[in-house]
Amino acid sequence: MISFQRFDQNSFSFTIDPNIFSEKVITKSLYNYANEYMITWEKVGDIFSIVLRKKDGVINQDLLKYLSEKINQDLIDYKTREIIFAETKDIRNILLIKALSNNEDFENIDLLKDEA
Amino acid sequence: MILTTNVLFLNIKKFSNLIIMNIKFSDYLKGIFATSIAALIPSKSDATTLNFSDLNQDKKTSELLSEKNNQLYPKLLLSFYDDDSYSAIGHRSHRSHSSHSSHRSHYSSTTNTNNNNNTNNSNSNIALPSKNKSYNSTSTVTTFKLGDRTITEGMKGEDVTQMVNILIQKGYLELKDGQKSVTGIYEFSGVIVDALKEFQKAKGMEADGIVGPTTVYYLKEN
Repeated sequence: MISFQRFDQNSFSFTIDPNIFSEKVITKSLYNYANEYMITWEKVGDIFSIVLRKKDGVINQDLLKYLSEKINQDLIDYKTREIIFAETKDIRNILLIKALSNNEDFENIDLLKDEA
Repeated sequence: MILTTNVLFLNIKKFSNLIIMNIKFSDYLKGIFATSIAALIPSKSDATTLNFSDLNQDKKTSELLSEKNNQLYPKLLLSFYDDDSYSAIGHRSHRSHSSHSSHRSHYSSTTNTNNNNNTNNSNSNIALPSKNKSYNSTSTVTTFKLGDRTITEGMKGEDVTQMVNILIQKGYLELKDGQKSVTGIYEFSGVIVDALKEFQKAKGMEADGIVGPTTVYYLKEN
């Protein structure tokens, strides 16, 4: 679980190791918060440091607890989706080709090989 | 950034070309045979006219040939890229391309009807939808729970229903028949948006009528 630190009364920060969650996963997870929070993202060494500043109002302790649980859940959720997306890429491509091929034969042409 | 490009070439016309070639070859053989027979038979003054089109092709073959000539067989080039995107390019085959072993040059002439072979035509790329495109009427229904997505005006789903029930419980919405909960799928519009704005105001938030993470937190808060 990622630990969250309060910055001031309307902002908090947390760090993420990109080896655990990719940049894609973090971006997708945080997109949902962009409407209500100003998101600052910087890379400190090999670690991403992210600050969420509430656009209006304060972040009380309960809200911080809720947000930390929600963001952790979102990160795992989007990572799982990414894994499933990668695992099913080939079968999706095969289904697409079969759907468009009208039951005809097809052959694979490598253009880069052709060029060389 | 595109790193490699694999193209799957759908050879739609290949098989039909073979059929047409076989039928034409058969026509030539029949013609030679008929000419040989005519040379052996002594000629008469009132020669009859022989219609080779009736002789050479039976009805089924004629239909097949006619169908093949009238039909268009667009070849389809599907390009898959490393970033999981793809493009489909339509291509109408013609004789001048029949001897090509490389299909690289086909990019320049795909669906270009002006015979300007060296002009890239970006309009030939058919943008395919990324998901949920189906030819039948069935569609996938995704069930959202409150907090799974940001809800804006016009959206509908179970999360909206869940929000309506919370707003009823908290006294921001009232049902005419005095019931305390609703079921089914509700759209986030009208009085529901007004009630949510009232709720946001009461919690010291900006009354924008958008259900983001903070609004969800306050909605779920006891």
